[in-house]
Amino acid sequence: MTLIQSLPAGTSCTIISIEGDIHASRRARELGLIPGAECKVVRKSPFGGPIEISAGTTRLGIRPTDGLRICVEVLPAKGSVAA
Amino acid sequence: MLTVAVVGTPNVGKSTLFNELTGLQQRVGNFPGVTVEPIVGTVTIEKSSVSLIDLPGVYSLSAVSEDEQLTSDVLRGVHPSIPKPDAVLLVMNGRSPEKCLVLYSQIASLGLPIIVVVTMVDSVKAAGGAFDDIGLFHLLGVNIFAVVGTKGLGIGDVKHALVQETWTQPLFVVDEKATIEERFVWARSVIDRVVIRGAEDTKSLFIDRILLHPVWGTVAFILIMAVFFQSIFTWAQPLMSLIEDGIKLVQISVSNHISHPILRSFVMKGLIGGVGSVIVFLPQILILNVLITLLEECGYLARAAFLVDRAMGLFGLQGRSFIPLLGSFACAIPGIMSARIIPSYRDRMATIMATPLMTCSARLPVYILLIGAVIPTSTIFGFISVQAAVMASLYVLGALSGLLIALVLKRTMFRAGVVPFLIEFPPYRLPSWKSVGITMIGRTKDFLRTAGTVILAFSIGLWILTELPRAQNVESMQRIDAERVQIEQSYAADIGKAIQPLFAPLGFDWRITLGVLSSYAARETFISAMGQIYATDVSESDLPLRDVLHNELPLNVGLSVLAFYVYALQCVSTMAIMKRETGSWKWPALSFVITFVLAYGASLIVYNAFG
Repeated sequence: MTLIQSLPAGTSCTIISIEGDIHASRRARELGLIPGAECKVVRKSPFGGPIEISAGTTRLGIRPTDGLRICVEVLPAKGSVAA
Repeated sequence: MLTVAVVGTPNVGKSTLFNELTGLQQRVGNFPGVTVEPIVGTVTIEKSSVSLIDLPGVYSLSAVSEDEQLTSDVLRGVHPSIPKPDAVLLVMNGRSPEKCLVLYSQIASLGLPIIVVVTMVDSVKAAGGAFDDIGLFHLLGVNIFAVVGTKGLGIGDVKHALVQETWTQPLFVVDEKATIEERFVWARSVIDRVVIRGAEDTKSLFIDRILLHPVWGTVAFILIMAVFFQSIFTWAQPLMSLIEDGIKLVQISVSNHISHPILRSFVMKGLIGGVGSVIVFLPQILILNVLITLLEECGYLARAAFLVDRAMGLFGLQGRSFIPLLGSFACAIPGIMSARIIPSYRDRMATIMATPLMTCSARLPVYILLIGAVIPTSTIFGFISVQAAVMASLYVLGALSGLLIALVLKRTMFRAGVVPFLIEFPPYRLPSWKSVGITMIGRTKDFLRTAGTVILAFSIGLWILTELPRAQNVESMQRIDAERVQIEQSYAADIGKAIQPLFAPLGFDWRITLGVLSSYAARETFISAMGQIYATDVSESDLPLRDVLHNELPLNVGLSVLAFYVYALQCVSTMAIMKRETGSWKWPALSFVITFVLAYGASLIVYNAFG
């Protein structure tokens, strides 16, 4: 179980589950972050600031807090052979 | 007349489309008990009209914020004062239709007829993609119109459709109880059949590599904000002088035509002077609004919110809060108005409560006068001017205190119902100047309406206090002496003398108390009031008054007055706008009390520390 904010920028992953605040998790799903969807950590801001995620054509800024836990599974990087 | 609700997800170009459709035929909807006031407009073609209501953008009918609740309630027909619309115009982004289709699937089960307007079809084509609007029509069963909102293409067809449409009910698409996941599955199946995705939006990705970069993005942010801030002051200055001169001209011509002294004073000071002192800020308000609208429409505002989110988070606020706070350095009125961009009700309220402590431009002349009068012109370490250092610390003190108030409110009153920061980055695009212009005219009308009603009432009240009862036998005196005699025997002076004991611990004598009281009309009134009280002419320059105050005010009293001005909410216009934007007198009253307590405390500490 990996939280999305623990991944380095540039990592692609598949969403496993979204937990936390009922409103926030619903909003995240409405924005396309649904279990099974592929997404990518585009960039992270310093000092634990918000992270940028892209999912399909949608690009989002999210502040990773306990109120919204996005659990993901890392996808193998493109072109590399899974070890 | 048929009422059509305009609905869409955020960033689909909904407001641009609404402005293109209704032009200047729009106003802020007047519905009782509504804090988020939707804009209503009319589309007229060949004598038939349709009324449009622009509802706040939503991703679904399950509301998270107050704005979204409004949209959801109105569409379901359960809103207490806004009637259920007869039909829905759903705005869909051609570049990214997935979320719009999810929203569509929810609205389709409400039993309302729908038409769908697809925006940005030009950028789909430019990216080498295609959008099959006829295919979409067959899948949804409702009319589809492709438009380019920023260029006005296809708008005429939509207008005709609105007034002539034989409204059709949508086909069944997904079950009413379907989950978000099931709706996305359906939306993707639709997209697979009607959309050919073009190339990725590499332009936006490229720009963001700079503008969202931790270092370069911050540098760019500071530069953009510096230009933003600078232009509010420099561009507004000539317009403000023009308005000031205009008001003076009107006052002079009025004074030449009215001979009755009380009536003349009432028209000059109560009506023209009172409202005029607020209308002077119109250029700042408009420029601030134009700049915010431009930043929002081109897509930068979402990035800026992302960049400052971490810092704002320290004070319990979120990235979007910085725009109202920044704007309040010019004037709290546009600052509070721009807090509408914050979707979370609690964050918006906390931000609004912080705005009056940002040092507005009306405090500046008071600071300049008092610092000039009481702070020595010496330097620290030989190069930092003490006066400049005091000025800067007053700005920092105000801003920090405002943010701390927001923090305390977020930890107490606004604790529950956290809306975690989630913001969508729209692609960068050129704004529609026509749409910006229409928004500006709307804001101007809005502001002038407030100035003409609430602010006018307050300024008449203040005129009664400062100009009545009339002094006798002043006709023979010099104008300055006549004004001094008048103010010394006004009701305001009575009040000033009566409540002076309250301010005595701060070192205020009755004259300063009176000056502080008169500032409640507008802070800069302090200068003219002090001028009248000390019978010094301030019309040419502030120098004589500064020298008078230099001799009259000891250092600790001067600092005490300055501390009071940093905190006190001495602006009835701000309170009137606060009431309008929050829908209740509770918030301006609370803000008044908090800032008064802080002002009193700060003055008390400063007065005794330097005594």
